[in-house]
Amino acid sequence: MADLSALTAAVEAGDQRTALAVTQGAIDDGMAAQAILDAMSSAMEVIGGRFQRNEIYVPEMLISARAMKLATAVLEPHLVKAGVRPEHTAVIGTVAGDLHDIGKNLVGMMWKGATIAVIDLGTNVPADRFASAAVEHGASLVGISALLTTTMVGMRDAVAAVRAAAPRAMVMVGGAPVTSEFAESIGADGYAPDAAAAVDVARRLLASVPRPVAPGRHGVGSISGPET
Amino acid sequence: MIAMTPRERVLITIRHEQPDRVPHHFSYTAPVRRKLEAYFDTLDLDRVLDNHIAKYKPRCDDFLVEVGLGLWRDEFGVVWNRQGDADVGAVANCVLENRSLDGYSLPDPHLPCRYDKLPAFIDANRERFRVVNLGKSLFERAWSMRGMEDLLIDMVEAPEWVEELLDAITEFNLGNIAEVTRFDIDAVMFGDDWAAQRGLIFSPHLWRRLIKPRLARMYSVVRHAGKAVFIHSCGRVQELFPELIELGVDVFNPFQPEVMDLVEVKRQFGHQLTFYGGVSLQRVLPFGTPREVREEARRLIDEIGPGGGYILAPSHDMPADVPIENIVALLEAVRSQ
Repeated sequence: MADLSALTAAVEAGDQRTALAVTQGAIDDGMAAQAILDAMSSAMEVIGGRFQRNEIYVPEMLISARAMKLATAVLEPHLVKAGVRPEHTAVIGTVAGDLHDIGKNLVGMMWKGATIAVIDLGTNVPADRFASAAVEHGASLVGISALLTTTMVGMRDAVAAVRAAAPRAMVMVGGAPVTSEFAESIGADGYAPDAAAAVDVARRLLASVPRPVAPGRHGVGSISGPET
Repeated sequence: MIAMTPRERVLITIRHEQPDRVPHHFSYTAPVRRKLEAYFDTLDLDRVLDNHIAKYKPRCDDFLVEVGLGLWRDEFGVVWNRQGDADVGAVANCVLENRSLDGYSLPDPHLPCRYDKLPAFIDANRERFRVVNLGKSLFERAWSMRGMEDLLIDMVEAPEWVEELLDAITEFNLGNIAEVTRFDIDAVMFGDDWAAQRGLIFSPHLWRRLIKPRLARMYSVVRHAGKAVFIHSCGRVQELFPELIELGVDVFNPFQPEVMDLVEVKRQFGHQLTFYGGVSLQRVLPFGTPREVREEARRLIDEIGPGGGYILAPSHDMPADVPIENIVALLEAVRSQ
């Protein structure tokens, strides 16, 4: 039988070749798709912890996320066949007027690592687009990013639009100038200072959200790119 | 006693001695420049703002060419989407799709058009501290060409390739430096953001292997020419201060209050580094009242100013959300010393 601890170790090390080989081996051995996925997401949890402790930095996080993304693509049809669906779908984007995407991309990657399906709306996303995408995808989580103080203030409109259209969705905000006080002042449910913390906060917020009745259309670790 | 010139104040503060007052420099983005020009009814903003530093960029007029609506291509081939902000923008293409410089050549650093306005600039700014600003000088230039995520992955997976790319950029900069240090300027300013709000983007180990040796080459040429070294690096970079001092950096910018304890940093490193910045662009300048701005400036003058080693400034070019009243309040505070 394939050794799933080797898969966990490969994703932690960002070793895509081994991650792919062990995933394929585990599939060939008939191992449960959920167990294979769990082996990878536990690696991403370790990666998040190391990032928060400054033991690793953005490059190592990117390399691990890429290893998981490639292996998850191989696993995807088996997840679908086994009826394994993401418990939650998130919509993420950078606020209107702001073209910065690195922080937002990192959060999206780490959420995928935590087996949340992620719909990436890209950058310069108008407030009503966050709202309509949240409705369209049955999202239980909406992430809004801003790098600039000049665009950060537009998060207030985005939060309000999502609240009005998708009242059950949890809204998180982040980006360099954003603080927890600001997040609170605009009525967001959560704030995280970095991509690893964004996983912890999302988990806490989603624990209070019932699993959607109609499952999301996208598979676990969906790798769909920006839609705008 | 005759008041010092702005240039004398900066020279003295960089020597970690006490000038007659804390020197300052207010820089701004294009929307704020237009607001200031209208408010003061002049195009000579350095004069009305009493700016102590004059900056020159060694670029030809066609450094940026508009290639589409809001899209500008720089001389490295990088296209910047400036529809969101008119001053920097976001990279909209990928100049180096592969881990190779084959078929690519960097611009010529020795083009006369980069330097032909420098003598007039020097003449016009005899009483100001004259800085040649090289802008994106290493990591930033590399990621703008290769893509941020790809470059970060390359740094771990293909460090030899990253060294080749950074060496090419270093040679370009050394060409710039050789030209500008022949002129009567006071300093060369490098720009390279190595950190984000919470810490370094890549590990100190990678910084030491990939970045530091190239900084050592560039900074030493500037120092041997008798000019000061300025570095602008945003974010929480203070763990690198001891090594920046070792490399001979004179002035660190932007000295952001959101990411470092300014008083503590001054206490620890202020005898070797001069700090340039300090006024928050994430808090007090865009969101505070004029009175809060004056108090903040007063506090910086009183707590960071003593003993020299300080140039008061907003922690970056002021963006469009800074009210004109707050800029005027900041100016009043530095003038009332």
